[in-house]
Amino acid sequence: MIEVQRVIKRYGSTVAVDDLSFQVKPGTVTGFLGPNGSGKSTTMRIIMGLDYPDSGVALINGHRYHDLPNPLSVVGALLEARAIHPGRTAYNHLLALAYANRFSSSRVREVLDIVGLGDVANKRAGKFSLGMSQRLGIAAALLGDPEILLLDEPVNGLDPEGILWVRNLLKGLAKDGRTIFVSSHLMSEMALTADHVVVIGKGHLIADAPMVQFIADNSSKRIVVRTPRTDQLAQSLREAGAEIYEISDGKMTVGGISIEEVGEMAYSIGIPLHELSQVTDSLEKAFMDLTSESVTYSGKLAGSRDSTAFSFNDIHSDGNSTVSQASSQGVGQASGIDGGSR
Amino acid sequence: MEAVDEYNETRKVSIASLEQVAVSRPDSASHYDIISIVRSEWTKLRTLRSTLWSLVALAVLGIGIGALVSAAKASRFHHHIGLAAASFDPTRISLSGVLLAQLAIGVLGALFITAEYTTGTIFSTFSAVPRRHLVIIAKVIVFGLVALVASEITCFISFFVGQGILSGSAPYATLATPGALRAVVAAGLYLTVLGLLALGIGVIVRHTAAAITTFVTILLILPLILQALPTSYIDAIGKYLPANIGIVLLSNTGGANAVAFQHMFSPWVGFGVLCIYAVVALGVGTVLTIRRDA
Repeated sequence: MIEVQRVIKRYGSTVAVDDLSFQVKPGTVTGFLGPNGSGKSTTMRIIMGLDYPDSGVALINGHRYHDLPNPLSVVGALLEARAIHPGRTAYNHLLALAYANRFSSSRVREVLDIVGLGDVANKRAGKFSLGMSQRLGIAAALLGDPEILLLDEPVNGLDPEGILWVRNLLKGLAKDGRTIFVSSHLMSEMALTADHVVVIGKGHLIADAPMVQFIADNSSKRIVVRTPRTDQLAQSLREAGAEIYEISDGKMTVGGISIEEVGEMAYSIGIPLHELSQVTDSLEKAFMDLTSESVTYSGKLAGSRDSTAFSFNDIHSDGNSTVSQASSQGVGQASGIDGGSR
Repeated sequence: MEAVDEYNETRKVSIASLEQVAVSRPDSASHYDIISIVRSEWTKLRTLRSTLWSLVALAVLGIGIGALVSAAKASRFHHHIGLAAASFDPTRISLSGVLLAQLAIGVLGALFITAEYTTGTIFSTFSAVPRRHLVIIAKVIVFGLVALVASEITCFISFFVGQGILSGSAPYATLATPGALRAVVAAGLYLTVLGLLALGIGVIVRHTAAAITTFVTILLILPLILQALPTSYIDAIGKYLPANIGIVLLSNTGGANAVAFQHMFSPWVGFGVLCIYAVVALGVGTVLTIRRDA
């Protein structure tokens, strides 16, 4: 159990975390979502006792991290994959960490095998790819077989195979009853792994809900209609209480009405339809909408959110009935937000 | 990227090994204490090549420069007459290399902590040991012992090599010569405490370049600045400079040499002052480390 209680953290005049409170319950994978610069890493560093909050407190099983006598057996953390001395071998890096908390060298071999680095254990970490560094960081987190895992952007820099590996690892660890707190700036990745989601933006809590509920609350259904007589159909739909989101030459997007009602109405007033389909917004879009006001580093996104990096929101325009699956596949490449979290 | 290739070949296996995460529980007594942290810090120190290179530099500079100076003095000794001959200090000559070896031990001391900050391994370190003062104490113990052994070996070898070179054509000392053994032992202690001072500076400033610059400034630049001051100031302040304390420590301060050191602290008082510098630097560094964000 991790409890963050009314934590405030300022760096100079910047408020990184602003009165943030939430809990991470045992036996779940809790996704920690927010755009880059929203305070995810800072919050994790505060939980780990690395940074001190200006006010509020972060507790692990009721204790401050500082007071844990056997920290690596309670919490395993991956905060920054590249936080390894390049001149030290993977084995020696873990060995120094293991000895500090009285673990044996055989446990070091075990975790290296678990993450698939057994054969490069004696290579210097400076020669590792980002994916390998990421795995070494996960090995360090698993060293004490901890009941709580804290992972900051663990799939960052991993290839699809590595992403799948992390996803399965997290699910397996949660199944053992462990508490897993994993941050990401990719909603779609979290949708596949997390049971619960905590969303922050500019250091504020935006959402704290079970994933199923979060999806239900945040994914709106829209209906795409193509017809040569849009104006006429739109007028009838408005009269029936529907909402017209978009209308252009021969095409419109409608909400607040069922797809059956649209079809029956068109039939009853004798309007030909060229397309009638339903679109479910991706979670990514829900997340973007939720946090758009709080993006710290908006860059070229500002003012043209729908047409730049997040163009996967428009995938529905070629008539696919659902876009959530498509966007979750494409998101790794499509995302314009940089992977680095600090 | 040989490592990457090997890794790619074996990756399929790794995916199969997913289920093994908890195959064995780690030792149940996993509470950290100063002994476990010392073991961890020793592992960190011995697993870096830079440690070996710094110690090699320490020995090569200490012994090599000592031998060169000894040879130069030996060949020119017949020019010395009267007072100059009387104040000829074979112990100090053979230990001349200490004044360069001190840079090597300082670099090693500073790097022992600054490398953790520059590489980010400090996150792992403080995750494993959140009581940060214990990390610094363990570093002092490990580095102090390594530096002491390496420095004493270097100084004793320098002494014997230097005396061997001098013995052909100039006065020379043995460990039985009054004051000689004290000077050799103190020279090694001087290097050790200077290394700890550099470690303390590293703990305070956290950046390698800043730590080494500060260390070099204290050792080499401060004496130069002091030379620009009036003589009365030089006499009053000079004895506090680590470099001057070092010269006293590695010299035979008895007999005809005593006059040359009249404005300096006596060897062990000087050594005490040096220890205070190191303790203050480490103490301030520890307080800052506990208070600051990592």
